[in-house]
This record gives sequence, structure tokens and C-alpha cells, in this order.
Amino acid sequence: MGSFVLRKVGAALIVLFLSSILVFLGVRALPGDPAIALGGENRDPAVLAQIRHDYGLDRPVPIQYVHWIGHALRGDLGTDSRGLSVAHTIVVKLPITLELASLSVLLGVLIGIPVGIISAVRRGKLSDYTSTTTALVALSVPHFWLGLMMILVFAVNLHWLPAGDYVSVSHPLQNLRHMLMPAIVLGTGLAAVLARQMRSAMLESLGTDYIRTARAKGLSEWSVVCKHALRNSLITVTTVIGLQLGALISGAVITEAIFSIAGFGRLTVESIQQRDYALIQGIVLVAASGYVLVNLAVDLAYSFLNPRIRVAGSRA
Amino acid sequence: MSAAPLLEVDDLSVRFDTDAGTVHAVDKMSFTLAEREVLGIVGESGCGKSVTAMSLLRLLPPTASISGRARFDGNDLLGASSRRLRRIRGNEIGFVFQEPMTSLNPVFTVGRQVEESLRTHRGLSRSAARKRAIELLDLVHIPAPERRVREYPHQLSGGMRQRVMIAMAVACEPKILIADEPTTALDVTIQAGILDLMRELRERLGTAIILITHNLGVVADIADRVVVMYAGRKAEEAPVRELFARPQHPYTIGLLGAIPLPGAASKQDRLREIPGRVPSLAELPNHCAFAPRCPRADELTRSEVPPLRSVGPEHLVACFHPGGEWTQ
Amino acid sequence: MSYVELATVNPRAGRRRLLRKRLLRRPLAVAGLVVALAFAILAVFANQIAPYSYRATDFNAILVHHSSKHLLGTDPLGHDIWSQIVFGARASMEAGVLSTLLALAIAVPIGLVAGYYRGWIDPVIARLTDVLLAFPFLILAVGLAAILGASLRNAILALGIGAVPGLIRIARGEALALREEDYVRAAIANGARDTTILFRHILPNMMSTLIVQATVTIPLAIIGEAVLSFLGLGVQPPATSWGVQLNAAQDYLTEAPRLAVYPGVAIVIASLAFNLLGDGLRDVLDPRTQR
Repeated sequence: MGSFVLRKVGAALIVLFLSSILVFLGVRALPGDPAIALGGENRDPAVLAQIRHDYGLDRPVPIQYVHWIGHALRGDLGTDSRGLSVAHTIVVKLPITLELASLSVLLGVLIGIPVGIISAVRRGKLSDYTSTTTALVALSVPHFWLGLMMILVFAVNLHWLPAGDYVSVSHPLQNLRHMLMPAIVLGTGLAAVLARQMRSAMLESLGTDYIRTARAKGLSEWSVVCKHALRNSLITVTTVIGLQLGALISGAVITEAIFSIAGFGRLTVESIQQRDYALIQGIVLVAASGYVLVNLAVDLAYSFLNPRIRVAGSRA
Repeated sequence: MSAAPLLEVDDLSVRFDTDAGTVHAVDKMSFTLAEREVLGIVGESGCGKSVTAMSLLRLLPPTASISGRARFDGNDLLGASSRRLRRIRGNEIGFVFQEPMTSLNPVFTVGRQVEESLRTHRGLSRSAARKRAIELLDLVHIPAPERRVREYPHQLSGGMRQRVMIAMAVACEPKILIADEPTTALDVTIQAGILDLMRELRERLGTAIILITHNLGVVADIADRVVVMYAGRKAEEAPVRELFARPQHPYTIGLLGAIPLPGAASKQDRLREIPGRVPSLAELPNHCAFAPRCPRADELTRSEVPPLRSVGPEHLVACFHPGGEWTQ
Repeated sequence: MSYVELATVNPRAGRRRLLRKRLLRRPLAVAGLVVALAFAILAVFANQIAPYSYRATDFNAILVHHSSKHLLGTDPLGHDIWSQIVFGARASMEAGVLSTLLALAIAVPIGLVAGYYRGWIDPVIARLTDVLLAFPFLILAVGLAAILGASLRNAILALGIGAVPGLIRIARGEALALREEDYVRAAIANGARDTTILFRHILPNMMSTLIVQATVTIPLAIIGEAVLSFLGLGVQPPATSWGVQLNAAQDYLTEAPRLAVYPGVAIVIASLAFNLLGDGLRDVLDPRTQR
């Protein structure tokens, strides 16, 4: 198990490193002269030259990269076009998105996994049919449209929930009221995917020989499903959750735009539209790193849950 | 031996509804099992022996339809309620499956899986169950049981996994142990050990055993009585010695002829195979199922199902032309 | 059918017939197929089907509700909404189908090479794919579209390239597994050339997985196009797509919600059709499912 962990961490670090290079080069590839973008309104050649020097834009690209990554590792992601610290902006906005993401994941898991299990157990019956079809419909709905529709129904017509903005966690009830629709919008997709994966994994588990053995031992059906089959299926589904977090992040970008939540996602959209390179670099670096780390955590969780990896087989 | 049989199976039939139509896996099987008896059910792959056994505990997939009657310990078995069935499974009737490699749950330790039966049926506490599990692993001759109890199935060899399965099945000292091809997936050397173990269990625990196999050698080794199945039907039934000495059904004779015997090179230069193939079970033939491959086939066998007839003490055959040598 | 007849029938045709039978047993999948084809027809024959050109404006009929002249009404510029939807179908279907085909064309060869040849090239490809997969599909697509510039063609490129890493992973996985199959080993042992093995043994057996993956990638691309256009990074007005229409509908959400409802419903139905079809195909092509 130790070597497995080491290998996974090593791989994650390599991926992080390569991602940072990719981010760096990608941002450089955006059209437009960075100096102009960084300078804001000012087109004075002297000022531009100064900006170029300050940001090292006249140095060769690899040097720029080293310069940037060196600072990044120390927590300094530079300043954006308005002179604000990128790191600070991110630190302020990130928790909002993290809260949204957490609520969405919670919703997705609480709905998706039980629905998947029930569909598998009642395979072929009406409840299975309806849940799988509903899940498929949920997957086919673009989340930003779902957001618009929900605003239309619940905010504009019914006045039950607010149409947007964000209220800080210090007012928990209001905070939840504002977060509810966005969380539902994001959580639906996750719930749908989880329900389908869970159903498929459970069906596979329930068809195995060891489940037959469990039944032959006289265990109750509940025990067979929720202990024996579920444990095996959860292993498969864990990897799926990790992958879906990526979709969640991209979904958060648009959802925040629609619900006017000034979080990390909205920050991303604005920075791209404003060609604010320093900000974009910092944002994408943080996002990619977060994603890699989460997947690493998922990988480690997987190896912990799966005894075949946790305990090396020694066939006596 | 008490008079009333422990298990009575009467006209058991099993049908499967599949994509390609209905498959009649078992057709009117009947047999009995007395206490402490070892009954061998023999036949080639696909003849319905596993299905027969699994139908008793209702371990078949939902596409199966079971009809007929079975009584266990005087009570209805096939029609038993779910609660009663759960109390019988693993407790009064234990089942050992064929594939030790896939029949154990990979995410739970071996000990936990053995303990499960004990805690479910006997209500033992964790520590008491752990102790008993170690004793059981010792009973089935797994070395260093205290260590093994904490290991996962993938850490054990095939032979040891099979022993664990047996331990699980006898944990609650069931009255009947059904073993479905317990040695097929294992090497011949391990096979002998498993059979010895079964004999020992019968001695120590007084368990009756139904042993399902396609290997006549295994049957000769351990069974008291034998039932020979062909294409879902019973072909012959006799005490083991009687069957080997005076086989009556052409299929049984063929099976015995196909066993390689060391030192018999002078009497048989080639293994005698039985020509032809097992019939598809999609239609229930209304004639002798073995007729297409039988050298004694005639008008009669091709038009009617042979009934079971007695041809000796406790010896039954379903054949119109039983007896004697295989006439080529 | 007797044994003799079975032997002379072309096995491939027999398998195709069996697959068709299995597909027909699944009404949802068939419905998906029919609807998907309907959208394809809308896309191809948009000029003939739509009553108005997507550029045609009528300033006398602004924000009209349903009428006999305008089935679904008009938008703030007097465009007929139904025509917009039809032409939007063209852009979305193009984006969906072409980007998926592009992705397959790039990913399958790479995945095959990585999975089959292994050696030093496999770990390199695997690491690179992992890096790309660290970026969610939409983020990659948005980033690429931002770099390339906003247009339908660039959106197709961006979506296609965005789908490549995921497809590489699948193609590679399939090639890896198929390589270990007995018949492949037998072919290698018989001295067959690599290209022969790849094209005769491995690729055909990957087909079913690839077809299913392609079918479920298309709706992702359709939604992706909508997202890109919604963000202003895809189709640019006056050209239209469902995403462009949704973007424009935002300002009129309270006055004329139907402007947002119709394109959205169109996206949902189109995606659902492909998803149902993909699901059905997956069941049909998997030898383990029984009906």
C-alpha cells in the first residue's frame, strides 16, 4: 500500500507540474498583447515598456515561467490589471464556490446513490424505469438553462426564492435560501450520473457468485444488498465522483453567472472576458491543482476501500 | 438410521424463461436423503444437477420456475415462507458452491464472512463468533487459523478458499450439506484432501451430504448412494457398490467405460467414449432422452419416456433395455 | 432452422439481424433514433423547412405571441422563433456531430497506438492524457475557444479537441484489453503484421464501444456549443444557434419567457434523443444483457 500511495502522489505531482506549464502557455496563447491588457487603459509606449519589464514580458518564456511558478509556490500569484493581489482575490472568492460545490455534492450524493440502489434492487419494475428515465432527462438538460427556468418559476412567478446574489454565511438561513437553487441546478447533474453509475454497479454486484453465497448463508435481503453488494459498488462509484467534480467546477462557472453569485466561477468568466492574464493564470492554476488533489484523494480513498490494493496478495 | 428421510424430493421440475425460449433444466426429479447419508448426484455438465440442488434453497435467478414438492425434516421446503427459508439457509442446510475463486466477497475478511453465519443464526457476540470462526478454520484444516481469519480472500489459494467455503457452510452444524462440484476447480491432490475433510465432517458432525459431481471417482470414494442424471432426468439410482458392480443404464455403463483405469491397458486400449452430444434442453422430449446416443435404441425408446423401474435391491433404472454389458 | 441452413447463412448478416431485433425491442432507444434523425433532417433541410430565413426580420411583428404567421411567435427583432429553432438545429447538430467525429479521428489512432504498442509511447500518452483530463471538458473547450476566436468552426474545433482526452482514455483501455485476447495472441504467434492485427482484429471489436461513446458524446457537444455561444465564444450573431438564442433571451426573461423556453426545450429533446439512443445501443451491443 505504501508504494501505491507513493506512486499516486508522484503521478499527481507530475500532472500538476505539466498542468501548470499548460496553463502558462495557454494563457500566453490568448490573442492580444498582454502588456496592453495588463496596462489597462494606458497606451503610452513608455508605460507599456515598463510593464513589460516589470512582468518580465521581454524575457524568454521559460524564464517567465520559472519566475511565475517560483512566486506561486510561495503564495504570490502576482497582481491583476487593477493592481489587486490575485491570490487575495482568489482566497476571498473561492470559499463561496466551495460552499456551492459542497452543497451540490451533498445533494447529488444524497439523491443519486439511494435512487441508484433502489433502481437496481427493483430492476425492471416501474420505479426502476421511471428513475432511469428521469436520470437520463436530467443529464440532457443544460444546467444553465435549468437555472434560468428555475429563476423563472421560483423567483419571478412564485416569489419563493431569491433570484440571485449571495449572502454570506454569517446569515445562515438567508445564505441557504440564496444557495438553494444554484445547488439544485448543479446537484441535479451529479445526482443523475451517480444514480446511473450506482445502478449499474449494483446490478453487477448483485449478479456475482459471492452474493449468491451470501443468500445461501441465510442473510436477510437487506444485509445482502446494503452490506455485501453496496460495499463493492461504492468502490466503483468513488472514482466516478472524482471525475464528476470536474464537471461540477465547469458548471459552477455558468451557474454563478446566472445567479449573480460573485464566486470563483464568475471570477473566471470575467477574467477571460477582460483578458486579465495574471488573474487567469492564477485561477486556472488553482482550479487545476484543486482538481488534481481531489482526484488524488479519490484514488487514495479507492485504494483504501479496495482490499485487493490495500493488502497485497500473498498466496500461500 | 431413522425411518423418515431427512429430505424428500418429489417430481421436482425447473424451467427457465430465456431469450431463446424455455429451457427445461430439470424434469420430474425425485430422490430422498436419510440422516448421515452421503448421496452422490452424477452427470455431465448441463444435465441439471446443480440446478436441482440450487432450487431446493431457491438460489436460482428469477427467470426460473420451480414445480414439484420437497420436504425437509417433515416440512414443506419449496413452499416455505421467506423467513423460514432464511432460517434454513446456512443454518439447517449448508451450501458449498463450485467456484471458490469468485464465491467469496473480496472486500470482507475471511473471518468476517464465516462469523456472519454464526452471528445471524446463533446470535453470537463479536468475540464469541471470532473464537468459533478460528475453531472452524481449524476444523477444515487451514493452518495458522488465527492469522488467516484476518486475511482477505485474494490472499488465499483456491484450495484454502474452498475450505473456507466449507467452514462457512458447516458453521451452524447443518443437518444437510450440499456440495456442488466442490473439487472441480482444484488440483487432484487438493481434491483428496477436501474429500477426506467431508468424510471427517460427516463423522464428527453427523451431517448428511449431497455431493454433486461429474467425476465418478469422487463418488466411488465417498458416496453411500448414487443418482445418475441425464438431460434433466434421473437415469439410474443405486447404492454405490451396486452401481459400480452392476450398472444397468447404458449411460451409466458408458460413463464407467470412459474412466481411465490404471493397469487395464490389456482390457481396453482406447477409452470408450459415448458418441453424440447432450441434447438441448429446449424441448422436453417425449421419448427416452438418451435414445439418440444409445446403441440399444429402438422404436420403443424413441417414442416413449421410460419409467423408473426397480431392477434390484434399492436399484432403480429408467430404461427399456437395462442391464448387462454395453453391446456395441 | 436446421443445422445445415444455419451454416450457410452469412454470420455477419445474422448478427446484424439479431442486433436489429434487440434494438427494436427497446422502444425508448428507437424513439431516440427517430428523434435524432428528425433533427438531422431539420439541420440538413433547414432552408426548405423553415418558413423564414433566420435573418429575416419584421419590425411590425415584434415579440408576437403565437400566431398563424408565426407558429411560435417572434423575438424582439422580429425573427420568427420557429425558423430560429430550425436554423439553430443546424448549428447545434453540426457542432455536435462534427466535433465528435473530429474527436474520434484524433483520439482513436492515438489510443490504439498507446494501448497496443505500449513500450515507451504508452506512458507518455497516458501522462499527457491525464494532464488534459485535469481540465474538465467544458473548461478546456472554453479555453480553446477563447484562444481560437469566436466562430462556429472554432467552436467545433474546441469541442472536438476537448473531447479527445476522454476518448483517448477509452480507446487505449479497449486496445489494452483486446490485445490480451486469445485470438489476438494467436494472430501474433502466427506472424501476422501489426497493421493486419490492428485493422482486422482490434479495431472491429472496439467498434461497439466507440459507437456508444460517440453517441453519448454528441449531446455533450451540443450542450457545449450552447454554453460557448451563451458565453459569446461560439456562434456569433447574425448566425444563430440555440445557445445564441438563449443568450439573447436572458434580457427578456420576465417579459417573454418563451424566448428562453423554446431553444432550451430543443436542446433537451435533442440531447435526450441521443442519450436514449446511446443507452439503448449500449445494451444492445453488450453480449451480457439478455434481451
